[in-house]
Amino acid sequence: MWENIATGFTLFLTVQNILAITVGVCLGVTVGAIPGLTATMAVALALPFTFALDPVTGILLLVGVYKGGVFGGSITAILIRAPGTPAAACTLLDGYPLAQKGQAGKAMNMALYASCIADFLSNLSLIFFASMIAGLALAFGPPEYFWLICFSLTVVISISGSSLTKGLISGLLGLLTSTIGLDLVYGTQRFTFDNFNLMAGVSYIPLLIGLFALPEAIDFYMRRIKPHVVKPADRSRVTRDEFRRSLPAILRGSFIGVIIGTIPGAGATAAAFLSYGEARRTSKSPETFGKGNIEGVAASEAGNNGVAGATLIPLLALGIPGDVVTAVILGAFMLQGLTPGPLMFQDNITIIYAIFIGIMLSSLVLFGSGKLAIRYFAKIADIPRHILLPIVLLFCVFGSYAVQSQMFDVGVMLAFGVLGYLMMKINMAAAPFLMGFILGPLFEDNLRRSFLISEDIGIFFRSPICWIFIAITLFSLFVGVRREVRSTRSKRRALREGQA
Amino acid sequence: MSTSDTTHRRGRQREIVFAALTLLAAILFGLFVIPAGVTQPASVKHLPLSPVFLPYLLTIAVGVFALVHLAEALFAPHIPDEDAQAPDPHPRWPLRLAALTGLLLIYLLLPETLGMLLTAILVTIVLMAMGGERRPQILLGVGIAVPLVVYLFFVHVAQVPMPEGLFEGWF
Repeated sequence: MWENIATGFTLFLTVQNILAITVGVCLGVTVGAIPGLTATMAVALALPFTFALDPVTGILLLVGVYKGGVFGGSITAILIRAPGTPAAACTLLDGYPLAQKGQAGKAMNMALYASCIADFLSNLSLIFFASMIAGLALAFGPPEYFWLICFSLTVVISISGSSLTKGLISGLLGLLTSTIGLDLVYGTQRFTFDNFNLMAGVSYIPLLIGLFALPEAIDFYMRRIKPHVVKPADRSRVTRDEFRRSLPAILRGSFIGVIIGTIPGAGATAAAFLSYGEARRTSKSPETFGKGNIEGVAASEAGNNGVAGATLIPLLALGIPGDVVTAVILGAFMLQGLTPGPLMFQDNITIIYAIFIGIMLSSLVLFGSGKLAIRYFAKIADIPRHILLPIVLLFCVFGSYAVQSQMFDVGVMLAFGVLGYLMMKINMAAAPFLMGFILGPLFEDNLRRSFLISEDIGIFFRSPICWIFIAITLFSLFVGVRREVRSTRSKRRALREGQA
Repeated sequence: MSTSDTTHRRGRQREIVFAALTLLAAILFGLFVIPAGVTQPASVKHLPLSPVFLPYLLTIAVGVFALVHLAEALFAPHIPDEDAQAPDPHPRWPLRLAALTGLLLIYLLLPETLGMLLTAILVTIVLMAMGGERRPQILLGVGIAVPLVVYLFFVHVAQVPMPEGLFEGWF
């Protein structure tokens, strides 16, 4: 083993490899920070450059872009409430309120620390537990997935904002929106009304941009003009106490990210929301979440970056891509004449070790480039709002159009922007809508696939994994509802005392 | 009547209207939109396999939660919303709303004719002016340079074929 590691290290230690990781991470951070351009798109764009590179160099370039892209999304989520990537949508819940308080620097630094720690732990899990965790993920069938998604949906309670019923309605509307398109089993149309643009459903990126970024711009023009709603970004650092307080959320988020990352299809966005929900559930001051709690930023960033390394586990161990990005990376492996899977561990173990070493280094590079990016991107918060918001709108339109090169997606973005604005006005949280929309297809797909396997409802209780998820779903519901009831009671008590 | 009472009454009314409208929307959606918008295959073996199963289930759930919210708004003491923003509309908000709607429609309808770049320049400049910017060097400098740089980035780096319109072949 040590001989293989030494050979892998020799294979890795070249200028090209270190340069590939550095360039990849920097490119990923930049592209990830642009609303509409996702980490997936960045990896796809970098793919042609790997043709002429060595296998290790090429793969490390793509992995660097991926990891940088996941972190980069948080920058604009914090600064301008426009998540660069879907996975960063959760970061804005607390990141943007912190920026409004003039603590953008602190929020971005915490996002970076959480991202790097989660990334590092995720890489370690990739190296040590690749085959074991991948084996566990293989034990998941449709019923197990169904319960996992039910558990993930309980997070809606945590992100409902001030009204639980409104949050639940928002989540249900998100689920309902996800049903638009062709039916998965029968191929019949649902709510498309013969519009071919809707046959594949509502596009994810335009919906995300519209729901979160556009309402801010609309609201700015409808109110009395305040030139600087966002205070100038300070250069504040995360204090030792804040870091100590956030560390449990980071570690828990990393763990959640690793577990979710190993399950194909679950995704970084779900991991971020789940981690955020857990951080709020276990916090001593859950009422401060959504209003600029630094632990919220730490939890969501740890969740989405924890996925980054772990999602390579099923790819490398079994040859199964965990998400779209790893599917692109799988393509890169194939182009290099390598087939990820158990045989690769036998035949090309030195390449595997070289990639592992490079991936470990990527966490350090991410830290360095992240610090640099924060310094320069923080200046965005200093731009007056009346200049910044038209530019944000510009990115919204270009980013939405870029998804499929069609104006229809711009229309979708504008429609959901108006919906997001109305939701903002009636104090209905938009995050549950997004969560419902993301998990909707997985929820329905696994529900129906389970029924296709067996018409007996007993299939949903067939394995210990099902029972574990049922138990934690019920527990999560119980804790969430109890917390909401207690919070409402204490508010009412305070109201009565205030009136007395 | 104190200001606090008026605020509570208005808050309660707002929640009642929201819940009633949501309930009404759920009923209309269940009665008209789902039957018209979802094609039901002739032979569905099992109810959960039907394309209408989830839409109906979700619509019923929306209706139930709207009812719960309505009951809360009617009978429970109203708690002032902590997140509620103080209404501070612009004095000429109807005019601004019309202008903003027009500009968003321009962003949606004109790129195919004018091109994405020219449309973006036009809208960006007007929006900055609406926001209160009066310096021509900022209006023209930022309004032209930023859309141009973003356009070039998307077209040449991200390889996204943007509508060129009047500038066909220029960039």
